[in-house]
Parts: sequence; structure tokens; C-alpha cells
Amino acid sequence: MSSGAYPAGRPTRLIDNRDLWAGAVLAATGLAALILGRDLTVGTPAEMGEGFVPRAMAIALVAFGVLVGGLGLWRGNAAPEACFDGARWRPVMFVSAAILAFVAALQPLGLITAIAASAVAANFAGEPLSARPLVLLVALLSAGVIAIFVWGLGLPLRVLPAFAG
Amino acid sequence: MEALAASLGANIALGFSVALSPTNVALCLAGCVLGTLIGVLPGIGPSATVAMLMPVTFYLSPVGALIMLAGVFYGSQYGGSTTAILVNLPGESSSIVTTLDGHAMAKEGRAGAALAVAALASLFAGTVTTLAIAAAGPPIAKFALLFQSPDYVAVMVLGLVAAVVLAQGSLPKALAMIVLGVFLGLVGTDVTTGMQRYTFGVNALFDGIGFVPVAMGLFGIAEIMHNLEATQGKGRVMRPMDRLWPSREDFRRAAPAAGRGTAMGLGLGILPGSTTDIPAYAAYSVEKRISSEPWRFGKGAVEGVAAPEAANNASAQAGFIPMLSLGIPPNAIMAMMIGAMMIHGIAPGPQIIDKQPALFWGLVASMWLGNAVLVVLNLPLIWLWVRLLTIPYRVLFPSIIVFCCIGCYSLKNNPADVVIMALFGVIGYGLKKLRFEPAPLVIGFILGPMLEENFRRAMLVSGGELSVFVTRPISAVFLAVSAALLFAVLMPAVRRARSGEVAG
Amino acid sequence: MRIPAPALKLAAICLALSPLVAPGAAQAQAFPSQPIQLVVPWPPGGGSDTAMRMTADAATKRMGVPVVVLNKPGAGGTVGIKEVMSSKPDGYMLAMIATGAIFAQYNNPNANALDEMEPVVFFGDDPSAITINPKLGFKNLKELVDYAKANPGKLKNGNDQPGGSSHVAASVFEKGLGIRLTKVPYAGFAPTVQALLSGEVDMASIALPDVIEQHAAGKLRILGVSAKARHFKAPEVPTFEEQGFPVISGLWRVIAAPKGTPADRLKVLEAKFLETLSDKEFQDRARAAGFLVTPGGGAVAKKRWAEDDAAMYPVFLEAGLVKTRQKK
Repeated sequence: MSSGAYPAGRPTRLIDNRDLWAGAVLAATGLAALILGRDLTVGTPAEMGEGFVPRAMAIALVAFGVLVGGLGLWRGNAAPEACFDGARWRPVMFVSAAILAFVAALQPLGLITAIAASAVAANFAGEPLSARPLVLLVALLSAGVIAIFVWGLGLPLRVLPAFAG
Repeated sequence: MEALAASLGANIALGFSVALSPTNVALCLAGCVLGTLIGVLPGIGPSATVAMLMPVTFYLSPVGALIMLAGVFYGSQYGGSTTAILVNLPGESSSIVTTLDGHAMAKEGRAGAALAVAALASLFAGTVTTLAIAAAGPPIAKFALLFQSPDYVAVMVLGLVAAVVLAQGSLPKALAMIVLGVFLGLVGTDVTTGMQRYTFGVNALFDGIGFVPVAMGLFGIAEIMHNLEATQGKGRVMRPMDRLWPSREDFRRAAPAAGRGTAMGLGLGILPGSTTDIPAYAAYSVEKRISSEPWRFGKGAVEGVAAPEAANNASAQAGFIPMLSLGIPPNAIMAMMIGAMMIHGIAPGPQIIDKQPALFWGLVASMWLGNAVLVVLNLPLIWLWVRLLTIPYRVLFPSIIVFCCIGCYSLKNNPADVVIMALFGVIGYGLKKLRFEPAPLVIGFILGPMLEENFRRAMLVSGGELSVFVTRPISAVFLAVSAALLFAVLMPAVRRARSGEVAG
Repeated sequence: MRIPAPALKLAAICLALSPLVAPGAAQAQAFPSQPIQLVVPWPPGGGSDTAMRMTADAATKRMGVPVVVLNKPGAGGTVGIKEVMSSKPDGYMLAMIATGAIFAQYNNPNANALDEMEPVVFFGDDPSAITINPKLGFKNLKELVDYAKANPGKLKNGNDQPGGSSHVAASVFEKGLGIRLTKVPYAGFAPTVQALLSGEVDMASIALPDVIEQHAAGKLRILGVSAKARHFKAPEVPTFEEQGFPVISGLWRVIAAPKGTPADRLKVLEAKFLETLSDKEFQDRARAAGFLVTPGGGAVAKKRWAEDDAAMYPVFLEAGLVKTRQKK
């Protein structure tokens, strides 16, 4: 509805057409859902199978994909900035890495290690802290987390590595 | 009429005589403090609360246990809104809409005003609802019993229409997000046939994808990724706080919105098994529709905080009616309350008001007490919460990540949920890049499975007759309201398209 | 390091009180010498969770070490059970299993079969019942069965999804009573009760404790309980057998350890849990909360599993729900 969000004018490159990409992603998701769910029973309206609604949603996704992509092509809305910029992947990568590092470390190595691993990984995602504040952050976070979650709420979390505790 | 007023007065007096005993006030306070803590810590769910409180409830009086648990419940609802406003993390499914304008207000340096409005709107809704329950609780429960599957379908449809209304960008894209949300909600074991859908043999998916990992990923984590990316790693740009308290203008706008939100929350909240989210979405949509300046919504409109907050508190409280009178728990904390009552040999059911008047009216009185305690507790805390925003982002965001991870993990003590959260963080970031909005997706995700289940059941019971949706009066009314609302949204877009301007 | 704070406090009290665990005796071969975790594979607050928390609370006094409940819900209980059954079989990790585990082993390749676990103690049953909306007018089971026989598929029964306990009960009733119902699935007992009250379904096959209050208030009518004896909460409701239909169905709960747990430790656990469950005070408390406790050892539990397994397998097979471990 807010056509004002896009500046007027056609893009120079097709690859920068945001809505074309959006439509493609929707359609691809719908197609994948159709293929992966091809074995589900559809049934009849009175006794619908487990595949009835998923298939309807998948078809709707493909339709919306075509609609959104088509509108994008027709209107040619350019993104104000390029859609995909290689240098900008850092935050996504390292924020994800921080979460995965935490969960990988939690059960075998305990809470403190997990927090340290997560904070170190997260540090690459933005403007990095230097070593000393980073250590301080890990120490404060560990203390706070143990006080609140382990002592306060009584969550069954391992604090130290399995072999040490 | 007079007799009714007299019995109401006597009942409320009984209630307060129970609720205001020193022990029960202390328990209410303890519950509210703990609840706020649980609500503010993202994801920390009822598991942690139960682990801590269940042994205590063995040894408390049933009234005391219920009052404490009710405090936990309100506290967690309120705490969920606090994080929605401050860091864009909806703690409860009902606070998804609070992120829209609440977090926008925070970005404008009006976090204090948003928090205060949320607290006061909740208190207002709580007071009205307490009175309504005291006056009409039992008859309302009877009305709730009239609901059947087609009626639930109609209510869910209203919720989905609300999701269309609250979308800010392109209409086809918002509709596509709802469809995607419904689809994702279908993953897991099908309630009707017991078959598995899109689970790929992965145990963590058998019960479907959890709400908390999805909401944390799409809102909290994606927001961090986006903030860092948009500012080359510096993090969020917040306008400095200009004032802590809402302005006169804020109050003028928020008060009627809170009133309307309360009415919707009360009306929709009594449905047995209903959630607090549909009233919140519906209240937000109504505010946006009737506003003379709908463009302010999503950019820090105070009505967009007041209405859903009032609605979710009113419906949370109204939810006690079906819980107590039918023994039907609408959520985990209330399931725990039933557990706490059962341990003492009290089973919630149709006879509870007659058999246990002190317990019933004590709980009703403690609802109001809990709301009042929360406001007293939280208004001074606002000062502290807004300080949180002055923490440098490079220190704040790793902390948010850690808290999200622990909260998500603690839901089921399952690492898979944390991995799902990371995945939805990336998906949310991608959607943002493609100018899709996460709110309609999450609403579709929550309502979709319930819609499907009830729709299929309605079809099964009626033998495939679609006409049940219009011949049942309740469902017909809800569907008519939905249709009118949808029409009101679509018309401007269609008109614009005709007049040559491109509808988007 | 994995113990909740309240449990730690409890442990401290126990340690102080128990002469058995004096300092120095820490390395003694006595079992148990550290907290026992009891995994409940369901969310907190439900019937199974309440039953197990009461059991753990009482067992703590007998074991001399804290028995701590840990909720690990997911995939119809299989996630939590799986974790316990694949843990070190030292007797410190136990799981609650219920009737649903019989179904899970055929439907979920990740679920554990009976031969992968070691039942320790049988807790008791929630017997199933046939409950109707009083508007239907049937006074006893026979009237319902006669009507159902004359109108096959006309009666709408509220139950769980296929594989859930009240769905299994409905199937058992259909076979045992020789009737055909239209089975309408709901997600759990609460919405089923609501649907029965609103008249969306005519009858329900859910467990007796879940409808007892509505029955007492006259909003619903329990026609019969499918157990060997009448239920203490509703002594006026006759059993199926008394009415001439010898059909039995219910939801049982069992505490189990992983396969490979040393026999002497299993013996200690079995003895202590049996003591706990047989205790008069515990039984009174459990009854007040609506649980019928009928303690039995590991052998009792195994026998019950085998009986139900034999009865239910054909039902699952017919419904097309057997996906794995197909019997020849």
C-alpha cells in the first residue's frame, strides 16, 4: 500500500528487483512444499486428509509468488540499495554462529563455556570489543545468568564442563 | 437489580476479606515479582515456574497457591510487553502487536511513555474485567458453552483478517506471509488423523514448530542482525529520551483506545480454550481502521500500544471464567493452577462457585489486587528499564542472544529449539530484506493450525455442509464482522488501482 | 550441577536428617547416593506431571536422596523417554511412561519399544468411561448400545487424535460393544469436555477423572466405567461388566529405567517406590487429587503392557497408523 517506500524509476539490473526476488522465494517455497508433501492424503471436503490444507497453502504460496513477482516486474521497483551485498553478510553469519556455538557448548561444556563461546562469536558480528571488556562481559553475563536462571529459577542447567562437575 | 447489587457487594467483600489477608497479599506480591521476572526474561516459560513453585504449592492453602500463581500469570503477561517495547522481543504471542508501535516508540525515545501506557492500560482493563466477572461471571460461562467448531473457525478468521489490517506494506505480500505462517504452523502431527506432516523423521518437529523459537528468531534475532547490518556494526540508533512519562496528548489518544481494547478483550476472552492473542490483534486492527491518521500506526502510535495491551489483559483475566467453571485450562500456567487445586482435592467445575465461594471470590479480588500491585511495582521500574537502552549496543546484543538461547532451551530442555530459533533469525532477516513483515506470518502461524483443526472438525460433524458457517448465528456474526473489516481494507486499495495509482 | 535450587535445599535438609549419608560415607557403594531424576515426558501442570510430582515428593523421604521431576515434553512423550532410555543405565535417570508409549512404538521410528526399557513400578490407572450429554436421554449403557446398533455411525464420540488414549478407548469400545461411532478428534480432554457440554458431540470416551465434576453437577452423565471395579470418585457409576459388557480400557502410568540398569539397583528402586506408593498417607493425598493408585512391581507393569499391546495392535493396524516395527 505504501508505494512511497520505493523511489520511482526502473532498475538498471533485473537482479536488483526486490519484489521479483520476493516472488521467486515464495513460489519456490510453495513448490518445495508441494514436492515434499506429495505423499500426504488430500481426502474429500467432508473427510479431509492431512494433506488438504497444506496443499492448498502451498498452491496459494505459488500463486502469491507469481503475483508478487509479476507486480515487481511490471512496476520495476528498484531497491534503494542493492539487495545483495557481499560485505553485509557478517552480522547474519556471526549472530547465527553465536547461537549455534552456545547450544553446541551447553550440554558437554556447561553454561560458562557456552556463554563465552557465544559472546566471542557475537563479537565478530558488530563493532568488536577489545579483549578486556569482552572478558568482563562474559564474567558479568555468567554471574548474572547463574544467579537468575540456576539459583533463582532453578533451571536444570550444567554450569561447568561435564568432566569437571 | 438491587438484590443483584447486594449479592455482588457481599461477594466482593468476601473476596477482599480473603485476598487482603497478610499472607495472601505477600503471596500476590511474590507472584507478581516472579512473574515480571519470568516475563522479562525472553522465552522463560512455565516449566521453570513450575519447577520452582510446584513444591511450594503442595504446602500452601489452595487460595494462597492460586493467588500466587495468578500473580505469576499477570506478571509474565506484563513482562512480555516490556521486552516487546524495549528490544522488540514479544514474550507472549499476544505481545506481537505491541512490538509494532511499542518498539517504534522506543526507537523515537519514548520508551518510558510506551511502558507507562502499557501498564496503565492493563490496570484499567484489569479493573473493568474484575468488576465484569464479579457481576456476570457465571452467566458468561454459560454463554461460552454455546461455542462449537464452526464458531471457532469464524473467530480465527476474524484473527486472520486482523492480521491483514495490521500489515503496513504491500497487501499481496501480507497475504502471502499469512499463508506461509499457516503452512509453517501445520508442520507436525495432524490432530485429526495422527499422521505426520513435513517432520522428516525429526523428533523435534513431531509436535510442530514452537511459537517461542519462531517469535524470538523472527523478531528478536532478526532485529539484531538487521540493526547491525544497517549501521555497519554500530547497532541501533535510538533517539535520546526526552521524557519518561506520557504527555497529555498521549493520554488523550490512549484512553479511548484502552476502553475499546478492554471491551474486545472481555468479549473474546471468555471463549473456552481461547487465547489472549486474537483480542490483541483485533483491538490493534480496529484502532488502525477507525483512526483518522492510520499512517501513524507502526511508527509509534500510542493507541497501538494501549488497545492491544488492554485487550490482552482483559482477555487473560476473562480466561479464568472458563478455567474455573469448566475446568478447561487455556494455557500452561492455568493448567498448573488446576494442578495446584487438584493436589488439595479441589476440582474446578460447574459447582466451584457454590462449593468454594471463598476461593472463587478471593481469586477474583486478587485479580484486581495483582493488577494494582503490578502497576505500583512497574511504574518505578520504568526508569530502570529505559536505562537498559543506554547500554552500548555491542554489549547489549550479545547479552540478548545469550538470554534468548537460555530461554528457548529451557522451554523443553531441548537444544533443537535453539537451532530452530537461529534458523528463523536468518529467515526473518531474509524476509526483512525482501520487505516482508513478520507479524502477519506469526499470526498465521498461531491461528492456522487451530483454524484447520476446527474447520475439519466442523466439516466432519456437519457431513461436509459448508452452510453450517452461516446457519449458526455465532459463526455468522463473526464472519460478517470479518467480511466487513476485510472489505474496508480492500476498498481503498482497489479504488486506488482503478484511479490509475498502483495498489501495492 | 543439574539440580534445581529448591531440590538443592531439600537435599540439604535430607542430608542433615539422614544418618545414612554422613560425611565419609559418600563413596560407600550404597545406592542411591545422589539425586534421582524422574523425567516426565509431558508439559508441567497436567495429570501425569501432578501424579509424578506427588510421587517424587513422597519418594524423596524414602530414598534418602532427592527425587527430582524434570519435564521433557515432545512428540507424544517419546522425546523424554528416548533421552532416559539412551542415558547411562545407573538407576539415576528414570522416566514415566504411559499407555501412549504402546502406540508410539508403531508410529514413531524414534520411540522406544518395551524391550528397550526396564519397568520399575506400576503407579495406577485412570479408567476410561462412556459419558454422554444428558440431553441424549440414555439411562444406562444398554440403551446406548441398542441405539448405536440400530443407527450405526450416528452417535458422535469426542476423543483424542488417532493413537491418543481416548481414541484407543473408543476403538476398544466399538470392538467390545459391537457398535460403530463417528469419532471426532480433539486436542486433549479439555476441548472434548467442552464439545460434549456444548452438544457438538453426543458422547465421549475420555477418562473418568476428567468428567467427574460435570457428572456431579448433573451437566454430563457417566453411563459406565470400563474398569474391574467402580471408581472411588463416582461410586454410583456401575462398571461396564456389571451392565453385561466385559470391556476394560484405561490410561496407566509406569516408572521405568533404561535397559541394562544393574539388577540390585532396580530392586532398590522398585522396593522404595512400592513403599512410597503403598503408604497410607500418600494414597489418601493421591485420592484427594483424583488418582487411583494401585502399586505394582516391574513384572506387573510388563504384563499390563503386553496385554494392552496385544489388544491395541490390530486397532492401530486397521487405522493405518502402524508405520514401523510392523508385526508379521
